[in-house]
Amino acid sequence: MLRFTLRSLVHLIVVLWGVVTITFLALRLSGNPLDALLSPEATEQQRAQLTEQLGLDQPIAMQYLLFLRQLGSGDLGRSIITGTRAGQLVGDQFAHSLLLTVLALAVSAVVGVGLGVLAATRRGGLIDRSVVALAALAQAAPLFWVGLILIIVFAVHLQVLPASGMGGASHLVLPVVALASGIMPYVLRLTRTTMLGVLDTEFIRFQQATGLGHRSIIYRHALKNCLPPVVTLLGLQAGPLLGGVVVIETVFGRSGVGSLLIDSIYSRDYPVVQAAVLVIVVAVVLANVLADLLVAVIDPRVRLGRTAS
Amino acid sequence: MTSSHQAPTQHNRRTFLRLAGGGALAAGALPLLQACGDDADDSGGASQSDLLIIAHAQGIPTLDPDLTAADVPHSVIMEVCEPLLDFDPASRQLQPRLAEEWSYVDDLTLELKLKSGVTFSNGEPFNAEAVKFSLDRTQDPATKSVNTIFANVDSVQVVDELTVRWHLAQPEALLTQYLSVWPILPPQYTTEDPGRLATALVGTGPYKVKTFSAGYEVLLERNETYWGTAPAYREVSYRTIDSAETQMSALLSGEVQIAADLLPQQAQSLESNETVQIVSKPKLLLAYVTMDSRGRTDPDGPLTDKRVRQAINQAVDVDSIIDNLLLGYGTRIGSIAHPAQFGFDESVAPWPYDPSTAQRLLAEAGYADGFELRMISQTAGITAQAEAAQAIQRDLEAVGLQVSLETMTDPTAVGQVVRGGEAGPLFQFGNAARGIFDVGAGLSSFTSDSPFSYFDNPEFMTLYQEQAVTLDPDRRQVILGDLQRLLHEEAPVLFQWAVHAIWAVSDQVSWPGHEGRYSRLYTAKPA
Repeated sequence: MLRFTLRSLVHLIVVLWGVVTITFLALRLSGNPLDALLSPEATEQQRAQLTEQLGLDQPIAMQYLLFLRQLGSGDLGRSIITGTRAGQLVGDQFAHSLLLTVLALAVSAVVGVGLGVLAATRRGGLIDRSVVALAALAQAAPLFWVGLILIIVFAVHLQVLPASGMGGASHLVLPVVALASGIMPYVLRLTRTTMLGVLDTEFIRFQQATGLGHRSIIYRHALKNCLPPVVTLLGLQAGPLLGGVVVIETVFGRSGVGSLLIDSIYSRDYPVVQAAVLVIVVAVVLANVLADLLVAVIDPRVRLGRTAS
Repeated sequence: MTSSHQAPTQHNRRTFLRLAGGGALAAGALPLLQACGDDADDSGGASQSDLLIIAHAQGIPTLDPDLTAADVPHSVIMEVCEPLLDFDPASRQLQPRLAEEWSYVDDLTLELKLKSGVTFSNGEPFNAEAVKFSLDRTQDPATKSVNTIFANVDSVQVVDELTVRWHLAQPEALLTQYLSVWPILPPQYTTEDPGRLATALVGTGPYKVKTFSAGYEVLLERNETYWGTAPAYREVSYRTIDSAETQMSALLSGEVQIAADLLPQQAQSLESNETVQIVSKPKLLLAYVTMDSRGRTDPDGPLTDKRVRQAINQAVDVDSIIDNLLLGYGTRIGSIAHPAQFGFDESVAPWPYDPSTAQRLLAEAGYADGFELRMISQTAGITAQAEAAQAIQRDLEAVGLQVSLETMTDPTAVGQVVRGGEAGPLFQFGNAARGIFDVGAGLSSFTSDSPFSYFDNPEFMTLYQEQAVTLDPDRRQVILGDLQRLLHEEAPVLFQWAVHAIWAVSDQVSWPGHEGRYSRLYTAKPA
C-alpha cells in the first residue's frame, strides 16, 4: 500500500511537471497577452510599460524558471486581467465543474451498468439490440449537439427544465444528462461484454446447477465479477469527462473551470490557464488512483504495488 | 405526486429494476418539474418588472474600468458608474451627465461645472476631487490601466468643490467625447481596496452591483439614492451564455428577456414569432478589408496603385454579401465613417458594383491578366466575416485576381501580424473607433505613424492633424467631410459595412436598443 502511494505520488509529480511545461510553452507560442489586453490603438510606450509590469520582457527561460519557483512555493500567480489570485479564481470555479462531473459519472455508472446487465441477460433479443443501438447513437453524437437537442426539447418545447444557467437542481438535469451521454455508452458496452463473458464461465454454470435463483446469480455473483474493469474504465473516463465539461459549460451557459479555461485562453491570461490545466490534471490523476484503490477493494485478488507473478 | 411515489412499492422488484433507468430519472425530475413551474409563475405578471436578464456571449472578467477595454464589461460599468458627459446618437450631440456645463477657457484648458448633490451609492460625495482622483488613477502606472485615451492630458485641476479644469499638453478635439466613455470612481472606496472594483464596483449610476459570479452573471440592483430617473426594473442581470443557440433557447423559454448575440439566420427565424421582437441598430464597428497601399509587404505591389484599389472596390458585390450573408443586417459604407458619428458626410456614397470598370482599371494599371495576392481573414468580432472573405475571393477571381485566404485568430492577426507590418496585401479588419461617436476617432489607424497603418498619404495627414486640434465643431465638420472624400477616392480599404447589433427582445420588455457600446438597461421598461 505504501509503495503504491509513493509510486502514485512520483507518477503525479512527473505528469504535472510535463503538463505545466507543455502548457507554459504552448501558451507563449500562441500569442501575446498584450494583444488581447490592450486596445489596438495603444501606443508603443503603453505596450512597453505593460510588458515590463507583466514580466514579459524577461527571456522565456527566465520566465519559466520563475514560474517553476513560484509553483514550487504553491503560488500560481495572479490573473493578468483581474489581478486576482489564479489559484483562487480556479478554485472557486472548480466546485461547479466537479459537481457536474461527479453527477455525470454517477449517472453513467448507474445507467450504463444497468442497461449493460439488461442487454447481457437478454442477449440477442429486442431489448439487447435496442440498448446496443442506443449506445451506438449516444457514442456517435457530439456532446454539444446532444446538449442543444436536450435544450430544444425540454426547455423550449416542453418547457419543463431551464435551458441554461445555474441555480437549483433543475439546472443540473440537462447538463448532467448531456455530459453522461458521452461516457455512458462505454460503460454500457463494457458491462455487457464482461457480463456475457462471466455468464459463460464454469463458476456461473455451477451456481445455476446448485439451483440458485437467476436474479441472485446475476446481481450477487456475476455483477461483482464485472465491476473491476468497469470501475477502471470510469476512472479512465475522468479525463474525457472533464474535457466534456468544457463543452457542456459553454453550451449551457454555466460557469466552471471549463468556461474559465476557454475565456482565459482567448484573453491569453497565462496564470489562469496554467492554474486551470494544473487543477484538471491533478483531478484526472487522482481519479485514476482512486479507481485503482477501489478495484483493489472490490477484488481481493488485486494487490496494489505488487506485480502479478 | 403522492401516487407516483407509492407506485413502485406496489410493483415487484423486477418491474422496479426494469423501470430503474428511465423511472429514476423521471421520479427525480418530477419535483424539479414542480419547481420550474413555480419559477415560471413568479416571473409572470406584475413581478416581471423585478428582474430583467440580458445574455451576452462575451464574459465579464472584471468590472474595474481601468483593467478592461471590452464592450460587455463596459456596458455593465456604465449601469453602475457615470461619465461626465453623454453622447446622444440621434442628435449626434453631447449631453450633460455628471457635468452640467463645459467650455474651453483656452485651447489647452477645458472647464466643467459638475452637478451638485450627487453621491456615490456608498454615500461618498461626487465632486471635483472624485474627477481628479479618477484621472490620476488612470494615469498612474501602478494601476496598469489599459485606457489609452488621455495621452494628451497633463492634469486635472480642482478649482472648487464643483468645478474642474482639464489641462492639456496640446489641443484635443476629442476630449469631450472621451469624457462620455470614461466613468468616475469613488476616491475613498477605491483607495481603501483597489482590488474590489473588479467584483464590487461602486459608482453614482442608476444601478449598483448586487452579486458578481465570475463567468456566469453580474446581478445589479436599483440604486435607491440615484439622482436621476429611477430605472423601471428593480434588478438587471448580465448573463454570460457563449452559444448563440443556447441564447435563443433561453429567450424562447422565458429564461432571459434579451439575447444580445443572435446570428442573422436566427433573427430571421424569429421574425414570425409573436413573443419576440428583433431590434437592430448599427454598432460602432466598421468592417473593411485593408489593402497595403503603402507597400509594407511588397514595396512595388499592385495595391500601391490607386486604380487597382478602386478596381477591387468595384469588383466586389458588397450589397449581395449584406443581403445574402448578413440578411440585411449591415449598412454599406463608402468611407471610414459611421452614420451615427459626429462629422459623418452623407454625400460620400459607396462604390458601385461594376466589374467591367474594375477590369478596365486593372488593365490601365498594367494588370490586364490579373495577379495573385494573399488575404488574412479574421472575425474581428464581426458576424459572417469568414463567409464574406470567401465571397470576396470569388468576386475578385471573376476579374482575374487569385486570392489565397489565410485564417487567424483575432489577437494574433491584429496584435502581431497587422502591427508587425506583415499583414498584406489584404486583411480583414474591424474598426470600433474606440467607442467614440466622432469620425476622427476611427481614423487613427490610417495615420502614417500608426503601427497599424498600411496607408501613407501626406494630404490625409495634414487634414487629420488639423481636425485633431480643431475645437470649433463647424470647422471640424468640414475637415472630417474632406477626410471622408479623400479616403473614398484613395480607397485604402475595400469598404464593407457598419455592423449591426441584433437583439432579440421578449415582448414583455420595452427597450429600444442603443447604438454604441452600452446596453443602458436602465432605459428598459416592462411592456
